Amino acid sequence: MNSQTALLGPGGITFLGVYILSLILIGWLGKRARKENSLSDFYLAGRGMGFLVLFLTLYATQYSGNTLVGFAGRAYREGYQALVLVTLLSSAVGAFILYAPKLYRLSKKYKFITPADYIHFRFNNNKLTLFAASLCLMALANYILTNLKAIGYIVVSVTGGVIPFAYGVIALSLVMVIYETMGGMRSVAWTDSLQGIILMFGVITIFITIQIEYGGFEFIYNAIQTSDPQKLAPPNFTQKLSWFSTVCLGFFGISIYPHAVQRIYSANNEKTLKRSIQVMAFMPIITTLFMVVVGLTAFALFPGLDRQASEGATLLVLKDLSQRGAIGTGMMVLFLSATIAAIMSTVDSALLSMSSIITKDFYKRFRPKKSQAELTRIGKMISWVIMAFAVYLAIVLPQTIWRLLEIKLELLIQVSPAIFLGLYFKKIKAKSILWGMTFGTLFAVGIMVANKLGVDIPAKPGGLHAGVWGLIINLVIVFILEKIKLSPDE
Amino acid sequence: MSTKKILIIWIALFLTVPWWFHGLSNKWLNLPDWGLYAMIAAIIYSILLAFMIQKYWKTEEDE
Repeated sequence: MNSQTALLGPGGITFLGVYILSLILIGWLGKRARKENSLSDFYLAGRGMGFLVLFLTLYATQYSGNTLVGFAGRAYREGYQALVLVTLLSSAVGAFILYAPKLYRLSKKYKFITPADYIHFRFNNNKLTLFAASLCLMALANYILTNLKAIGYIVVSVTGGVIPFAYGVIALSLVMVIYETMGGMRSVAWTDSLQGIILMFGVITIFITIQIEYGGFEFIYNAIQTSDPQKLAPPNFTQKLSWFSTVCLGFFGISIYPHAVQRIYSANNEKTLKRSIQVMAFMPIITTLFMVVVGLTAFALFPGLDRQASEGATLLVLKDLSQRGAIGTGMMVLFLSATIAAIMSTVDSALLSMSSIITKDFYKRFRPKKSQAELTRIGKMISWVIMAFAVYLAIVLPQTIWRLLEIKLELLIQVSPAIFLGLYFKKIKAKSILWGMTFGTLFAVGIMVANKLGVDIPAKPGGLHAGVWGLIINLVIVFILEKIKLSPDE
Repeated sequence: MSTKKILIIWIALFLTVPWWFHGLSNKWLNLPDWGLYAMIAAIIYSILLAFMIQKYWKTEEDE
């Protein structure tokens, strides 16, 4: 790449740079607002988040760079079947309705910091707590790595390769870890608020612009009918099962991402949490749906791209709009800021969550006498170590390993019975949940790894995701153990 | 939240999948019929969730 293919000129890049550096200022303000040197203050902003900040941080965290880049690419390849992504995100809100009220009240009363805190409180089983925390850690680590890689590619596209991939990843990671360790959740939530506003504004603006410039759904339908009419056909039965399986993955997986659970803990009161989740119910419509339309527009404009090229569907539409004169530099800067904001807000939240899990669920469990101030200091150090390691891996990891990093929700979904069943069934035992989680995880990971390493096993046997099969096995084992009272706790 | 509400959330989620469409699609409002169904179902699901939160989530302040 050379500077002539850069998406932004020097002015745009400077503006973007100033915006990114301003996040450090917000992080510093978050540090100044600190009330005490405790884990609760650092990881949950002192449990004092109001409606606007809570909603925006939930929004910015839930919608990652994958929403702006990956979802459009998927819509390009799958056509209208990518509409499942809208329900994928909605289903997570449906799950919040089922568990958030109960979990919030318990977290307030028993001062939970991490999701595993609840699991330990409910089941009082160290093995189960550590296993659940480990699954959360693995899912978050994969999440951070894939998003760091995405951010490197965006920097290369924006600057036309003037800033190389590795330097882009290092610079933006440095900014994130600086503001995160300055003020913890408060800094992250405040930067998320700014990033959430930019993200929402960017997505809505690009959607409206393509409606005006190309003609919206009519243009898309006619172009698809001409170039690939097969994409207009309804999904077959296996694809419909896969559609439902995707929705299940959102319901039991996305909803219990540790950084989402910690935002539930962070609300200053239940009414704030209720209102934030209520508004979140509509976000898939004005974010995911809009990005699916962007991907469909890209297909209508540039049919015939391969998988890798289709991942750049959003940028292709932006370039085309720019060449047509439909958008100026300002709008380009806005959308690229939105993309970077989406990635950063997700990475910083996942990083904070990982740091809290290692500090609280692992370190404190083995060093129970450490003071809150010491634990907070150790948590900050852990953030730096995680980020340094993640940056290194993002730069050097070979492509074959990257395929394995797609395993995120498949792992996380196995933790969901501990939360959902734990909240609703008072008599359910730790051993049943632990065995279910173990076999569910082994089955799901086994299928995923075998498939990605080229063994002749489909990634979605019978249309269902490996993680959903794992969850079914997980639940069946829990059910059997509870029924036949084999649990040693009996 | 009672079993009834859990059932409502899951039945509604199940109905968001375009199960009923087979063979060739027709064009409705510049979309394939099943695509329009999926889009409207997703919008209705969001509205339903917002309604359920309003109606059934009783906060400690409400109680």
